[in-house]
Amino acid sequence: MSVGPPALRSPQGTKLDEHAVEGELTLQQCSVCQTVQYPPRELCRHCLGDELNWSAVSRGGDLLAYSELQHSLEPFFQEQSPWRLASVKLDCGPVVLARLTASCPSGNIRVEVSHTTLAGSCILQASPLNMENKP
Amino acid sequence: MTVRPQPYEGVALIAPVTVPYVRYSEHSAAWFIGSALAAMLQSSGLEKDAVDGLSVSSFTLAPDSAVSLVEHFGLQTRWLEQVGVGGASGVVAMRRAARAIQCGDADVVACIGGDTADPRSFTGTVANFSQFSNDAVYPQGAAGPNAPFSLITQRYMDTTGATREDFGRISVSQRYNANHYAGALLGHKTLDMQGYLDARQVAGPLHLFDCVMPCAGADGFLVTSVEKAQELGVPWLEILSADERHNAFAADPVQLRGGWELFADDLYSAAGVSPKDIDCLQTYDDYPVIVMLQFEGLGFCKPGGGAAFVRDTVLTFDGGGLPHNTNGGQLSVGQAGLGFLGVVESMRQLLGAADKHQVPEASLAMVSGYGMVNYDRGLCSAAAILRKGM
Repeated sequence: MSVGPPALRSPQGTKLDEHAVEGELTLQQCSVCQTVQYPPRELCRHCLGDELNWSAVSRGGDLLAYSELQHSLEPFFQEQSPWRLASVKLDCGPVVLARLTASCPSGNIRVEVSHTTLAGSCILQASPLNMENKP
Repeated sequence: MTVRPQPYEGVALIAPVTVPYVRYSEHSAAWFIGSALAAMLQSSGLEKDAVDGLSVSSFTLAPDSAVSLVEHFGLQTRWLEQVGVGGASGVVAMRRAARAIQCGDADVVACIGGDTADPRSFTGTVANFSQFSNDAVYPQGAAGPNAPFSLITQRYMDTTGATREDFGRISVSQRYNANHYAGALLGHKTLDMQGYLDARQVAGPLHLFDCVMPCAGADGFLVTSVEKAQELGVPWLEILSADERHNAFAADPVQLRGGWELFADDLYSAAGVSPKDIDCLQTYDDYPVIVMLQFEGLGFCKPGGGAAFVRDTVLTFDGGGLPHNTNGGQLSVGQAGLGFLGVVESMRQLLGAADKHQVPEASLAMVSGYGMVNYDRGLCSAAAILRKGM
């Protein structure tokens, strides 16, 4: 039996997938107060306005933490384990959870976050940047 | 004007009950919740018709709801609540029911947290836990709550210098407590520090004994008036103070503190006590790092000082330090029922009904709740200070 990644999305999550461009980062932005938000929702988390655009935003951010997930509830991910999961504070505001493309030490790591496609499913991934002098 | 909760005077907590936890069950959540109600009636001597308020918390009740249960159980209530704040639900249900009693909206409220479990129900709950989780967490490895808590734990370790041994002190002492509580699912197994450290890795810094075991079971208690409790001739407890916060410190990039510190000082001053007066503490232990955040937020140590605190403080029920999660907590008893475990355990300790894990001369108890990882952190914090009625 072939298994794929879990595909359950809310209507807003589906829109995120639709606006995702490989290598870019497209998130919701309020057209009134310019707040960038993630995960997607129907109202601006700051001003509660509903005029939200999907905007290409800056991809840079600080790595907050990462861990390697050894166990998954889904066979698709279990086969891929360990799954490198990171939390990233984006320069444009929100904290995102993303797959980390390479293991790295903790502390003061800059990353770049972008959309990517995994077995037909859209996810965020984070790539470490300033790794040159790190062990 | 600063808004603060009014006193809970005139309110009595009675009849703590537990429907024994089991790993899996063919029974529905309604069976567990209704069995808790039956046990409370037996314990208090009340007739079913005397219960005119019901507060229910469950992750596994759908498609039914609290009002469905009113019909299931043949009740007629004039006050009804379904509290859905995850592991904060026990404390929150208690304080809301207390207000209903004070205001005359109900005479006797049954507060119950209960869940069933089958081998697929946990995955079902996690896979569709919240919109944010569906869109932004579950597609990243589908590891359930282990995913965000592995990140919180790692960040806490990086920031404060806490080690795995520090978290182990919490898990190991709770297992010792569970070894003295017949209702703990893991109580028949001992756990020492080496066993904790050698356990298999689950997610980053989280290993097997950092994680709770979902299970089926129920806990509950009755909230009524002091007058009614005295009429029934049953021992009762009073709520000295209680409070809650939701989505506190939302701008913090990682959850290294919860909402407790926003109201802890008021809890102590309203109760006229300080942390050193607390005889036993029940925290919500979905993961040891969250226990540390509660030690810090509730004033038992300074922010970031959780690791040093557990190095210096004996946490077992009979160790003379700070008796903590005295029946083993969720880490050793099992996870069911959304934070009612700590309330019921606090009540048993104060009533002197904790049998082999009784804290000597426990007269003041604190219970804390935490819940609902909607995205990357738990949103709900609650806590209360309880005392034997006099």
